[in-house]
Amino acid sequence: MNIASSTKRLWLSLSLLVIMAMVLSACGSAAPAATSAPEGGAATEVATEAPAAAAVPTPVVNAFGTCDDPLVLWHGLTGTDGAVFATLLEQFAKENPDVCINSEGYPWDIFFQKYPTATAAGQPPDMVIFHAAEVQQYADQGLMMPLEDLMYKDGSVKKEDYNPTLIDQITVDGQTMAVPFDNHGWMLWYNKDLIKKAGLDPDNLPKNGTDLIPWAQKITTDVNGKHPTDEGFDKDNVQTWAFEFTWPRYTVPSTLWQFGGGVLAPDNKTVILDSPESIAAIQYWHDLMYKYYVVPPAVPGKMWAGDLYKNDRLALMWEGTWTRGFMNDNPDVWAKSGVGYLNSLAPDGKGAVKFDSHVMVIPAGVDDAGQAKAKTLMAWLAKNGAAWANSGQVPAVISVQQSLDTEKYPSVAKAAEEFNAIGSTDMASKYFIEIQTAYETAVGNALASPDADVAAELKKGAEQIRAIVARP
Amino acid sequence: METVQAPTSATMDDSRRWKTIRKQLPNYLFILPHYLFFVAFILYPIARGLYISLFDWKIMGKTQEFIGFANYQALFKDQIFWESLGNTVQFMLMTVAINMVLALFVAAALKQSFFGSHTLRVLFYAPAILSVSVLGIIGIRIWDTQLGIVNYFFTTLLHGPRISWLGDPNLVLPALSITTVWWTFGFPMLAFLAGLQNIPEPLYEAAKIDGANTWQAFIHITIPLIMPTMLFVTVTQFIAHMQVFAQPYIITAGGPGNNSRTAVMYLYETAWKYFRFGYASTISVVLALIMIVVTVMLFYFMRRRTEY
Repeated sequence: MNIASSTKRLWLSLSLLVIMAMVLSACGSAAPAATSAPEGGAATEVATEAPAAAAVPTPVVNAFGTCDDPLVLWHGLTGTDGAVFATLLEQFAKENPDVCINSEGYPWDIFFQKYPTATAAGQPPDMVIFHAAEVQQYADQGLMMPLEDLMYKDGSVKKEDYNPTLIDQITVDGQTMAVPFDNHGWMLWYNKDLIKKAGLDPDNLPKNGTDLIPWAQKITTDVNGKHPTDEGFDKDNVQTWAFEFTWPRYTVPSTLWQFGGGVLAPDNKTVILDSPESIAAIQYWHDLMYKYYVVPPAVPGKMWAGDLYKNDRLALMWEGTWTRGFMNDNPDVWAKSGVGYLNSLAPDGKGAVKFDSHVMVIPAGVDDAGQAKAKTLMAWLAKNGAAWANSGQVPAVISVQQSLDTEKYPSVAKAAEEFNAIGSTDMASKYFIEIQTAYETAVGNALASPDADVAAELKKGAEQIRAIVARP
Repeated sequence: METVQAPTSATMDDSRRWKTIRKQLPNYLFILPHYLFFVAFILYPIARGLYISLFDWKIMGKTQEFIGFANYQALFKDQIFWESLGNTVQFMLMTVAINMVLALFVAAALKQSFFGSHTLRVLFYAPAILSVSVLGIIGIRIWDTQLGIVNYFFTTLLHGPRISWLGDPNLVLPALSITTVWWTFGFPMLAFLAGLQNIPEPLYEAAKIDGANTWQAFIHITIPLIMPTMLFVTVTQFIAHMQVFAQPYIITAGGPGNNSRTAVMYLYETAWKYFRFGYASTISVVLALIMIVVTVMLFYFMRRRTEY
């Protein structure tokens, strides 16, 4: 009797647990990568950033118009970007009743799994949108069609309408492989109230890395109100930070260029990650973290810069153009914010900033009918990109950028000006993602602790990248 | 006059063989579906992986470039591979060791029947039924520097410093290992429980009469008689934890730096982020070889100490 009742109890308990597990599994989410930014680049992996629990990677599927053979469009424009993009597609469907669209938005890491596998299996979507930085690698793998003849030669779009650096980045063996849709990248967001509270002038920010240090020490305070220059400053319990090491994907290249360094030289073959200039750039960040205590250490588990900023605990924030969406959601934060060019950290005040672009691409293997539909949509989006500024991103066509209402889109107008003045795109390499992983890892190691040897870590990373670029 | 030729031994053998085959045919038909799936989804991919590892394989390539053993040569010089393999071995050793010891002791305790023992068995097994995604989210919540439950107790109750468990190169693998032990501990515990229940009780009674205490009985009776289970658990745990992927992928993305990047994670990245399918196949072949060799060694050394 005992055995029977125990067994029954055991089965009952197990069944309950299985049900609980199923419920938990349904509620849980697969968060495959720790990302720092809500939008922007290929957020495939940020080893040095806070491993945040990402939202459930559910594709956002929308149909625009009605027809038997819709254009299938895959992209990673979700969140605010996705909402604004949907309004554009809706408008397109109204104006082009003969072309209907199935738009599928995925988190970027899911997108980058689906796109190559579907294309290799001979079932690609008719059109995709991803980043200019990845074009060289995807083109090298034969995953995309050249658009030189389809889009540029017949004048559907014109190369001179776009930032020339960007066109270079998406050109492979003389063939332009994509049509830019926007420019997005890093800019400076600053909390005017916090700066004023420290007795400083928000309209007169530090012009170079040398000026930044004493300025930042005046802003940074611990829980007792002491500054890093004060006796007894508690570096483990800082209340207000002056500055923050945000997403390495943008912060690292921008800083390296400001110091005259980089990952690869302009020839895209010579590795300069361990050059004196590059070492000085990363050493500067290391000093801000562990010598001057004005920047929180760049280790996983730290709070996202946006949360610190929102709670008046961060004065200067390097973040993306897409932060405009965050500001729209937090008008009180926007009311006390200013936006400007990325401040230079170099001693000589040299300005530089990384920007990228969402580009429109036709995957390899798309049939003629699919190409024709994609061509119609790409040409329309290129001409009607002004509304894309509602997402905070900069429309790619320069004439559209110049026509933007600066009152309505202050951050977009400023970003457009910044990218055209001091902006550069990332390296153009068929090994881009591998090189990116290598330099982000090296910089992550260099900034992981006070004892880290910056020069040695960058040298190690540079050796790895040399081995990568040396491949045939 | 017709002559009847006596059957030769060869024809008798043939006829007997056919009879046997006819008799056994239904058995072969029963196992046929399994072998079809085995060939299609295990043997063929293994052979294909070996083949691809000899090429510079492009995902959309119409022709692939044969490069012989160049991928293997490159792998032996690949610092990231060795780092990730080192991380994997460290993780595996920690996880298997903690799992084995803990599972054995808990199983020994739960073998006794006492009030709530059944509930405890279920509770100890419970985390094993969670999906790895849920485990990942729980892991992030547990170890988070600012808001994690471990640091909460560490700083508020013990007044210790706020530790960056996932950011410290020396702590990240132990943190992942402990999370994995909590998740996977149920299976070895159940296996040990079953093994312990198979040990005849009179052996313990005889030992008790001879004056052995609990510890001596455990060392001299339980351990030797549970060796077959231990061999099974060790081998399955070794294979499972050498293939660790999702926990570091979800919780740390391999960081800080490369400190929690595992071999299978590197394999995945090589194939699906860098599109180096030939090289990724090479990594899988080498990993499989390492696991086969270690498994054979485990069988060899542990079987010698096994009593049935």
